[in-house]
Amino acid sequence: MSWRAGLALAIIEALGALTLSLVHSDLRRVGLASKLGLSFGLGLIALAVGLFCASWCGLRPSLGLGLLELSILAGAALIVRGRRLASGWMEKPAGPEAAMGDRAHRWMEWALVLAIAATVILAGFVGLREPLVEWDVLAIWAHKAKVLSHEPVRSSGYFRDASKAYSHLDYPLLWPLAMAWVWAVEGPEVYRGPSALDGIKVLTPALLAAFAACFYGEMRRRHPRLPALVFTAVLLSLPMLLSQSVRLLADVPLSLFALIAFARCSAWLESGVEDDLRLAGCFTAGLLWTKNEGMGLALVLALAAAATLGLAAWRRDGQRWRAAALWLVALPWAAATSWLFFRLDIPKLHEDYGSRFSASALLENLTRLPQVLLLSLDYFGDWEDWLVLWPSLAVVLAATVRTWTRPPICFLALSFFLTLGMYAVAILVSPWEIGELMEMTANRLLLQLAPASIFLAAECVRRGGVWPRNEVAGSQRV
Amino acid sequence: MLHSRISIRLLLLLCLLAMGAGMARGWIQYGSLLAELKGKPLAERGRLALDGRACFLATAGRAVLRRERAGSGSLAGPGESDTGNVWAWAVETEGALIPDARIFLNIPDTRFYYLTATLWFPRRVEVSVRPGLIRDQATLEAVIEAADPARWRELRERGFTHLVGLEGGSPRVVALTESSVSEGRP
Repeated sequence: MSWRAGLALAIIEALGALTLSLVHSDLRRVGLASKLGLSFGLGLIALAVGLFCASWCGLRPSLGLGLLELSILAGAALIVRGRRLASGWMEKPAGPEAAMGDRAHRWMEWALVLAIAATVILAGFVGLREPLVEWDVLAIWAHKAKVLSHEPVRSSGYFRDASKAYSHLDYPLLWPLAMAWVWAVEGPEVYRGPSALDGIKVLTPALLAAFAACFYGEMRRRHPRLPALVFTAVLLSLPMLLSQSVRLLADVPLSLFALIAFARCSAWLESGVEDDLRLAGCFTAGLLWTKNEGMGLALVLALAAAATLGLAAWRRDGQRWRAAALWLVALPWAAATSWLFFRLDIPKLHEDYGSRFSASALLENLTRLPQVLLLSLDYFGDWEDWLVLWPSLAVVLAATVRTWTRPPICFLALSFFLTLGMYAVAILVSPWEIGELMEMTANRLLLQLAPASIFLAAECVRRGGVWPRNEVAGSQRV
Repeated sequence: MLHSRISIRLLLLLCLLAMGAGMARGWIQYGSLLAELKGKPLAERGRLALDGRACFLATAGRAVLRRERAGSGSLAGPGESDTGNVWAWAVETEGALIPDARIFLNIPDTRFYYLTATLWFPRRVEVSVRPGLIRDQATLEAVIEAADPARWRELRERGFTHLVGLEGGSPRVVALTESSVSEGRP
């Protein structure tokens, strides 16, 4: 990994850290792992929005553009947060602690930390050594990244080129822009040569480390250290997450954004702290910028949040409804306006799921449902990609029905089932042969849902009394 | 109630142990792959990464494919190692092409078209002199035009600098120079 590639990652992290400082009013309440992980995710989103707008103005990704965006955000953060900017990053909050903090616990915690670190390091190194080879990544995401490196979107003929329809002209550009950014910092002509195939893989360890940090951070807000580490190790044990991170599939950042958006929205529904809602909104915008499925996930999030608000004790609190409408719907879609507006002009030459989502299309294809359900068992029960994740989740959900059917945790459960339903409908109405389509997409769709599902399982375990009580003693930090 | 809670905990503990075993297996897989990749040149590493027999990542996420292959006793499907070869060939050939080359691809195979279009970018790779919709193998076959030596001059006049075709089953790049066009051979 060259120092320039490291610089590209450091600037993404810095962009995200400044965005986090702007969005979060009191960073003293956020753990260090969370701060670092969230910063990488927010950095990717801020970078994509900035580089796309610059591209629309006729500029290609460059180090100068990144530094300009960094300066603007730094100025804004200094004006808005002032002296609290530094103190918020220095102080660390105390999370819930186990009542029983004996030596065996400490050893287990250290063993888990080592296991998680070993996984991230090993998979990260493989990611660095293995060049960009994955068929879909080369044909879709890396191709777009090369186009964006070569010419601004405003003057590019690519988005109307029927001979490149296989690369899905209308797919969102966050991941290609992240790739183009790394190439731009590595050198202005790097994207043209074979070194681009190695240079871009620096995103693998960064993404995996951010995933581990974010997930642990979200767990740690609600759980003592040991269960937080156990669930983080469960996430990092998933072969599907590791393989797709190594291969740089866009489903990985999408699932990271989905995790944070759903987890923070759930926290807001529970505590009413607006920082959580604002973060949920930012990551919902990230969903819209990453993949077309992100639009569906954003819709699911808004619907599930509205349903939970309707059931909650403060359902008549108009201020909460307005805040939810602003941060979960208006602002994410506004942040993606430039892309959505540009996308209107892109011809739909490949699959167009948007136009196929209709009651009549669903009824027409309902006879395919048994086949979809039967084939889905192949993927839910697949040891090679998921170990025993989905059967374990089924056990937890079956054992804690009374827990997850109540607000506010019903938000997570509802989101999970709505997302599964949405994907099932998408497969049903698709024009492709079902077996072939599911083989290509089922595990990737499940990956988008997996981290948020483990988060749901952890919440059910904690609240349903499945985990021993003395392990969850202590207060929850907000 | 207490019994059911204990059995659920026991079941979850077993699940956690299974996940732990899976994680440990992952360390072995990734460690071995890292050792395999170490010291190899770019083309070799790419070929290895796309070989279903040598690299478990090549079939990641493809549950049915893996099961079918395990049943047939082979982890690589027909043509899979070909993808690795096409990738390696495209990477090795890239340096021989001029920066503003315009290439006419005369191989009706999405692997060649998709991979060269990205790996050789910003050089343009086209399969027809008329624009056509290409979204899969069938549409590629419908759009692609023949490029026998009689058409080489026309292609050159239309701005193409190179032609890629198969010769004896292997891909071959032909520079469309005045002499090659006149003689109808490289």
